[in-house]
Amino acid sequence: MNPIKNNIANVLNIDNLPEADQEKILADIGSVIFQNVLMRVLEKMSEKDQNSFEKLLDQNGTPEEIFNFLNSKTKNLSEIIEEEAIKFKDSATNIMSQIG
Amino acid sequence: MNEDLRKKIEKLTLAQNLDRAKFDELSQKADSLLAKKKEIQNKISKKPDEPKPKLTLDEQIKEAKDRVFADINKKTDEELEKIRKEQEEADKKAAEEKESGKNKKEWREEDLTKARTEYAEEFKKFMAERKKKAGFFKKIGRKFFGSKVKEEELTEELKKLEGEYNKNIVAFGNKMFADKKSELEKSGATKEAIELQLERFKKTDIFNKVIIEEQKELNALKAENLPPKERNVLQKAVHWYFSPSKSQDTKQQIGKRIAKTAISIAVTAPIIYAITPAAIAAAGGFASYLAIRGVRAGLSIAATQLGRSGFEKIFKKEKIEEKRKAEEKVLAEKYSLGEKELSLDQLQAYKKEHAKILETEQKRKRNRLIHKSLVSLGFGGITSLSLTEIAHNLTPEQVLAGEVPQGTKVTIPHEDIQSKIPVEKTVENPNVPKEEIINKTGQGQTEIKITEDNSHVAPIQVNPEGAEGNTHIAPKQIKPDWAEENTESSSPIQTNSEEPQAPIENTGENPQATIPPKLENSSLEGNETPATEGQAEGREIPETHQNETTVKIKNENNSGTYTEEEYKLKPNEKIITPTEKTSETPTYTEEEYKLKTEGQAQPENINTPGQTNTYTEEEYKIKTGEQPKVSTNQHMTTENETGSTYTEEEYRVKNAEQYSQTEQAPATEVENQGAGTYSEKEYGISDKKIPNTQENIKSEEIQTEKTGVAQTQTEQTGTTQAAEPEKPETDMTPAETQTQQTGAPYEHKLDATGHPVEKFITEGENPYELSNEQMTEINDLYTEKMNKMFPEEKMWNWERIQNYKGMAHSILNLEKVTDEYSPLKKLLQEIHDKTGLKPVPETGLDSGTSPKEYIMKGLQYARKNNIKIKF
Repeated sequence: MNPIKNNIANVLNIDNLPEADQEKILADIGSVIFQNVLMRVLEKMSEKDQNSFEKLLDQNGTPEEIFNFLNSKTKNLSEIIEEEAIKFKDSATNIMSQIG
Repeated sequence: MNEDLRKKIEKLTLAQNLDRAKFDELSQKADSLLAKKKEIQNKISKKPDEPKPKLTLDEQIKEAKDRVFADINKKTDEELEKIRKEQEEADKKAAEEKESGKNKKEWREEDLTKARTEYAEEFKKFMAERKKKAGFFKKIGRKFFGSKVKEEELTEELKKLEGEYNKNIVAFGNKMFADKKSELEKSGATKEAIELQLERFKKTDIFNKVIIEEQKELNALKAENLPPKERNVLQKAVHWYFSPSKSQDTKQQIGKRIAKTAISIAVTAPIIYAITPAAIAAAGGFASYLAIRGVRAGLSIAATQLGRSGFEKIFKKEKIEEKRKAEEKVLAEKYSLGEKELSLDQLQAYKKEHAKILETEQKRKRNRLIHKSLVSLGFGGITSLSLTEIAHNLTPEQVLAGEVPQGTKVTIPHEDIQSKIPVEKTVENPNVPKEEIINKTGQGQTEIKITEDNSHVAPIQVNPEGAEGNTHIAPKQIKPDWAEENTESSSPIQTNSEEPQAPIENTGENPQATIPPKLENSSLEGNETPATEGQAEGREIPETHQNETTVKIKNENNSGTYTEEEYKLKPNEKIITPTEKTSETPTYTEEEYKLKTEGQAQPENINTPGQTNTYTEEEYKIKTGEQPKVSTNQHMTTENETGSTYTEEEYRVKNAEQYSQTEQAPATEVENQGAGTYSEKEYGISDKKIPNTQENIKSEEIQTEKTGVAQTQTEQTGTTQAAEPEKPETDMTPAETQTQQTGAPYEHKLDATGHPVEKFITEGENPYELSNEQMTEINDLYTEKMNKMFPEEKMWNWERIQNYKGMAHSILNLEKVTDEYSPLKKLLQEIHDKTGLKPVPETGLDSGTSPKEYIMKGLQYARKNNIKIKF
């Protein structure tokens, strides 16, 4: 298994699930974190940058274009991503540990 | 000397050296001490008057201490015991409460909604207040460095509401868990099974509901607090994430959609790794960064270091083949191959098991190929590769374990199955077809004769009833290039054969025809795979060569394979050679055609009265070229409306047709009436190929079509009558056919908008309640067609998208796709147009329909409703 995925699976204790389930969970987690990141990043953007970003979205830019843009407009994008990811993980772990 | 006396003397001596006052003082103290000593001694002694064993003072003190400590210890133990009991009671009570659910917050949806809303509202207030209070420099700082909310910034009220919200979430999860547990317990499953299922349920369903969905709900509420502009951009960003690319850059269209999934991994990766901006920049973006990182770490070290060539050294192809051979050896021993003759049942079982071995081998090979491809990508073009794909397909463990991702196509190359089957290598005539399958009907056994060149076992259907059943040997399925897109289908799921088929009509009165037991002087070029096919009541031996077989077919100019045009001829039309299209091929009248066959070997038992089968040349071509349901020991002539008749042998000889035959099988009489048209199924042909057009046979080598997939050559006009006693339910009436030819869905339930009612299914389901045979047929058809659409060298293109949720919708909505995906898009469009089924797009709330799911669903729906799907 891919080490990234493997570790995420371990962290979230989903490593013994079928690949398809892991895939879905991973994609879902990604979508949530992506939204959280965007909410923080957008707050930092100037209106001009927001317009540029909006235009890029309207043009259906590639993922690389989107992330490169965000990275160029946010000096600590990676930190934000990391923070949001860890926040999600902690929250999810805390809640899930109380279930069952 | 008395001790006391001695002490007194000492005291007196000492007193002499002291003044009187001092002496008196000390004397009093000494007396006092002595008195106290006596008092203590009296106290210690329970019975001071009784004689006691003498104890020293130290012993007495020690004894007193022990007594005191004993009391203390006793009291301490009593306290501890009391505490312990209280704790135990508390624990017991807590356990009981937990078990009964009393300690859990009872979940109510309205509570959760309320808690969520209140928390979100408070959060919005908090953020607004925070923003308002922030000073100039703080605002500037947040602009540049983000606005992470620190724990200490949170208000007590917000913390409280967040806690309440979390409690409700947990309660929700526990309710789901309890409900599931109750459900499982009622099912009577074992404790271990229940635990396993609960574990999975918790990690999937509960996780999704409690964590993912709740987060989305919460985010939606939080987003309300954003300024309109930000909110709008956020909505677009989320939409972008879940929507397909609309770019005109077709080369990247598919890849973009996939890459978005890689983003999900990119943003989750920090859970494990700290990603430095420098690393990202160096990698050229997040997707590529994560991809590279994933590949570098994910691939086996050996593979990445050694590269493709190194990979070959590690995972040698021979190993897979050796493994297969070993398995075959075990299987051969199991059935004592070569030592005894197998019964039909044994042969059937053997072939099934062997087919599994072959399939497994192909899976291994396929995985090896995937691994090789990815190893190559690890060296070069990694950026276009989805990390998801890597995560799913890359693992050496998977490859070595032979695990294949869901939906994997399997193309099984031919294996020398026959070598494992008792065969009699007897060739009575060198010119006889190189493979004969002789059905010893009435004896319940099938004996297979295979010449050295033979390498295929085609479907064998044996009628145990003997003389009453038919055993057919059909020519090996030969599928020309053109048939890739214009091929036949036994079910209404039809390939893209637009032109009318030969208007042959079966009388249905005596649907039997025979082929003489021996065919002399017929020529067969290359390997031919005959297939035997029995009647419905006969037992069927599954085809074991679900594989790709290369067969050499003699070119029309040299021998006599048939073109599509011949296929389409009506009986009373002039026979046109396959190369008519090129205006270089001579044309023949039937007379000419007949003359051409003169001097050739004649079959035995021709024109048996009452069982004469008449055919037009086209009928015969179809018949002989498509594994007709004809058998030996009966007589058949080919006759057109002008009176020209041909024996099968004449026809075969004339055209150097390839086919095989069986012995002692009842015949099927097929009479042309010049009007009707036949589907292959009607004609008794379930899994054969349409003869080639001359122009389309570019090479002498073409691949045979995988059999086992019932297909239909559905005609466009005329009546249809079944030649087989058991007509498949998929046969359509002319009206249905006509309806389908117009492209209109047949028997669709429509919703309020006039669109067919969608019923989404997932892979493996059977929502339309098709029979096992029908499901198998569809599965086989699917496998066959997808293998054609994405052959081995293009397999990766299919692998990367086939199970992608929402991808079916994406592809359908793309204006243009790359060449490799063009056939797929056409197929999806065909399914969409004909069935009316709509794939679900991927959204935040729905994972969407994958291409594989959509195709399978479409084929099932089409099969059920007799809708033709063209490939």
